[in-house]
Amino acid sequence: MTARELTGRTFAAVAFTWEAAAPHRTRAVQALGRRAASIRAFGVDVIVISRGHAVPAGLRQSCRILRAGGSPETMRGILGALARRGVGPGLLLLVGSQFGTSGGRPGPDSLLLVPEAARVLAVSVGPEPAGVPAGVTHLGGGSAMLLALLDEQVRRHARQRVPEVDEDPDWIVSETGPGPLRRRVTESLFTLGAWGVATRGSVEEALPGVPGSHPMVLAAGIYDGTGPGQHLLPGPLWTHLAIEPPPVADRRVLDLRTGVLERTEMAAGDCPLRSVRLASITVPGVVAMRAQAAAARLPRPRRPLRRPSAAEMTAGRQDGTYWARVDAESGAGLAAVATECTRRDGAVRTVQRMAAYAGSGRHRPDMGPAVEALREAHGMGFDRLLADHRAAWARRWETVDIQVRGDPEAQLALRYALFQLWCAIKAHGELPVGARGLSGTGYLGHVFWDADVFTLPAVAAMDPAAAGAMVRYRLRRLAAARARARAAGLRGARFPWESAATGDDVTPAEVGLGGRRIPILTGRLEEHISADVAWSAAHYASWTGLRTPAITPLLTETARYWASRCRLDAAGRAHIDDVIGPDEYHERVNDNAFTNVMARWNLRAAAGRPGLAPGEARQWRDLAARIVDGYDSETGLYEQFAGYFALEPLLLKDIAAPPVAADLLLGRERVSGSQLIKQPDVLMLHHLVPDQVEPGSLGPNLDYYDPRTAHGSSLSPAITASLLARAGRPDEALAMLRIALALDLDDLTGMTASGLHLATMGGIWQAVVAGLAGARVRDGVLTVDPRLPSAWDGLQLRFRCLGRKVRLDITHERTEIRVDGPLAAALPGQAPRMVAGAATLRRSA
Amino acid sequence: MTTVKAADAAEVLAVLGQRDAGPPVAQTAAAVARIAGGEVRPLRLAADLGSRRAVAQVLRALHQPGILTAVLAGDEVSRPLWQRVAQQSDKPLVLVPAAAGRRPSEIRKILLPLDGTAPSAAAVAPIAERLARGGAELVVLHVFDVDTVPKFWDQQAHAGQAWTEEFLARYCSVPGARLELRRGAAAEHVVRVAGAQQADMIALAWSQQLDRGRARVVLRTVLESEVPVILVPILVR
Repeated sequence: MTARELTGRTFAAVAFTWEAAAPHRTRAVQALGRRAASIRAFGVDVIVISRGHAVPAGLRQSCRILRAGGSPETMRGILGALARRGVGPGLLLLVGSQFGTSGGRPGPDSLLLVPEAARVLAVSVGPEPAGVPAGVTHLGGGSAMLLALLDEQVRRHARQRVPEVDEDPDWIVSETGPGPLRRRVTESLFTLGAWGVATRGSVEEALPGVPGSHPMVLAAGIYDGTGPGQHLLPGPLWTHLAIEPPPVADRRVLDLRTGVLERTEMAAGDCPLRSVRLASITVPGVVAMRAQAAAARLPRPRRPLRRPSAAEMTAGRQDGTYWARVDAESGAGLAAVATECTRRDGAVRTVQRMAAYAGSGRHRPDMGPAVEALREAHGMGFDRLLADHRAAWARRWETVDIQVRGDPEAQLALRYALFQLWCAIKAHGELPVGARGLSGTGYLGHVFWDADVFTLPAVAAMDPAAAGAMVRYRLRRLAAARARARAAGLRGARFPWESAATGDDVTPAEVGLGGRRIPILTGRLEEHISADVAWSAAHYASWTGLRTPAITPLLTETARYWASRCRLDAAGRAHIDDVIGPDEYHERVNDNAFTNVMARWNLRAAAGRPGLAPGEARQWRDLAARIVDGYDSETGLYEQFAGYFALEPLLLKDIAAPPVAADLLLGRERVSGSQLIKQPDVLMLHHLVPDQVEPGSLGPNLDYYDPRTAHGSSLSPAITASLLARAGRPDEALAMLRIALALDLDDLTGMTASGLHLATMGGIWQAVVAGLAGARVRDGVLTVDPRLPSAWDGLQLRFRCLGRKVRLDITHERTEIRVDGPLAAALPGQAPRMVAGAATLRRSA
Repeated sequence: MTTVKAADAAEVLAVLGQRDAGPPVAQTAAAVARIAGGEVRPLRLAADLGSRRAVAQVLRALHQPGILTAVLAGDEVSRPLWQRVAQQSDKPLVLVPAAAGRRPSEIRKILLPLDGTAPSAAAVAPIAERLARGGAELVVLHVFDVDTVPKFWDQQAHAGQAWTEEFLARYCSVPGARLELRRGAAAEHVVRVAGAQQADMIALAWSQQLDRGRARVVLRTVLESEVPVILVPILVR
């Protein structure tokens, strides 16, 4: 068997033993050094396991030398070092010469075959008279074969062959041969994004047989259109290839660890189509792909950028670089520059394409940064770009991760949620996060309370700068919110239910459903959004520990709004009339508990801020104390709104199993006349502002409202999971969390094809961190109050908090915390302690 | 589950009874033939309605190559014939109401009730596409009940748009088709919506089993409709 026949793969790292190299002569050392240097030029790690031998200078310059003795710990050290660069075991080629037994004793190289190295391709070039262990391929040929293996890797990299993905089941989401309709879902599931630009996971070829296939590139904050029809502007497409005939069956793998999407055609003979693509997280705006197939099937591409459907595109070529731009009517635009090249490797043609995007939400984008970024990426080369990208993702996961022991299915889904949150955010400028992020046309990219209350808490723990960008989006739309309040004859700032480019309300006015035109009232009446925006800014400041005077207007202007919005009755109690709460089954209600208590919180939080008018703080505190909240101390219940308890006492179990869109099943009139609710409303208070509700009221309200909750909102399951955990019901919490985890991966809504449910992903984070781990920040102290489900043996959380990198290791017995700098932490009821390094938080006896 | 491809068939049988069903059947057959791009072939029954000979005669003619569908009276009197033909045929069957309702001379708009399952959508797809190619407008009807209601419905306007787009992409991707949503019992809505939409025909996939599934919908539609109903069998092979 030749080296080419054996490997057929392009590795990211090569390790070989000293004995395999046998570099006894200078010329052999020079040959080996040249090969190693050639491979390293492509960003490939080359490691020599020296076993204490003196390594000649020619090799020391081109390889990483491990002087260790070739023990199991040597291999674990290699795998650990490679993992820190994002190189998994499946991307490592290990060459030895003494794997088999000799003189009745195991060969020294067999010690390298640790369980963690199961996916490593281990090859022996030695004589191996007693054979080799299972899992090792015997080539023989000695050092000459080692050189041949290295030559093959150099050749594959030079011919731009498609690299591999390490198929670690803890990290990959895969789909094999999906039917045409599942393709629509995977287009969303396999979205890749970075720097505020994302590409849907469409396959490379056009799919005429797949209705509604929507290849798409979208950028945060770049909209087209006006009014409720305002939508994210689609950008030039970069992933298309003409493949003839197109693949009939394929397998696609999204590697969450390295942010790479791989595709392999199945049952296609010697030259199947393969491709990988990535959205670089190291070079701003750059995306790249490589594809290979039989030359006859993969003609030379003509244009690397293609017009998106339903959009006009301007394009051209300058200095060998293609450019294209899609302009919005408003003057905003999304543009790209791209290069591509092809290579032949025998019967195989490879296509390599790189593009860089630039966009502006206000004017024609400046192409300069994109040109520079593309030049930088081109200069690095695809392999180095990929190597840096992998390493950067590894650093991300080192800082932010959720690891569950005992539940691999949940583990993967949790990481998927984190991955897609990463793909949707950016840290520079401002960041509007639409309900479906950048993964599809659903919800037109409009920004709801989803972003402020569900997504931002997760983002603040992942990338505080990105959370700051989300807050900046709202800050820069204060003027529009003030105008909206004025238009209603009120003071302060009144944020819109649906927001897009300008901060004006873009909520549709009506919808046709069931043969009727139904008015949409959320734009006019779902007013808690103003308090949600304030809460989000306050949470950002609290969680990150950043002093943020800039956010003050978001609290004070919304407080002014509430102060002017409240109505005082003859007894001096304050009411907020005619609103819609989070439960949208009931419209035009008075004194919705959620709206009122959030307004109360808003007033109190703002009263402590500087820059108020004389007497304003006192007035707000006084008003806050007057706001009715519907709490009955005898029952321990909050009435969701005035008159709620008098409605038809319908329980969900009498109608259908949750989750269910009860309004579609029973009709709006029936549901609004009943106690059935769409999602947590009162209970959202216990999640967002637990200090603002009566102590001990979570249990009674959960017992009362959960049986009445249809969970017909995709926002509901994750938050309910968090609440159940806080109520000491972690196993029920896990059951609800599983619904949230499956929402997009299993397309539970039937609408994932139009985009991923980003707020669900943020809610998942909250369910685990705030719910199961009970991690909250108050007054600069991180408190942790774990409630682990019985099915989980352990939970490890990594996140950012209060300017630190935090790691929590939680078991049923104890909680350990590790930080990279001093951090005040505590369990409930205990005095905070300053933790530096590692500590165990123990419950008091 | 698969259906027999009707794409290549070009003739429409007009089944005329011994007591002639007369103009309604012939007129409907002509309208179907026009929009399907075919010709009418009259078939006069040689035996009493509902007799085995009559059923066999219709089935024999229907299963000839080149026959797209058969048009017969769909009233209660003719039920012994059409019900048995419908249960045994692997081709679509057009049933003409005897009621003095609309008997359109042209088929311009077709109501297509779909239950949101792949087999029923696949069953009607060939005939729907053929009629759409002939110029008919397709109005898809889906009724939410306890089995079909979505689990989640977030924001009314956006969810409706996303769900509609997805439903049509999955079950009726004919360009120009639009979706009408209702809730409740499907049987109560089909005829009513057909009237409200001024549909000229209703196309209904069915399992050929009258004792299970959505048989109630089928029977009620056939017997109460004021426009022809084309029954398309969902076949198991």
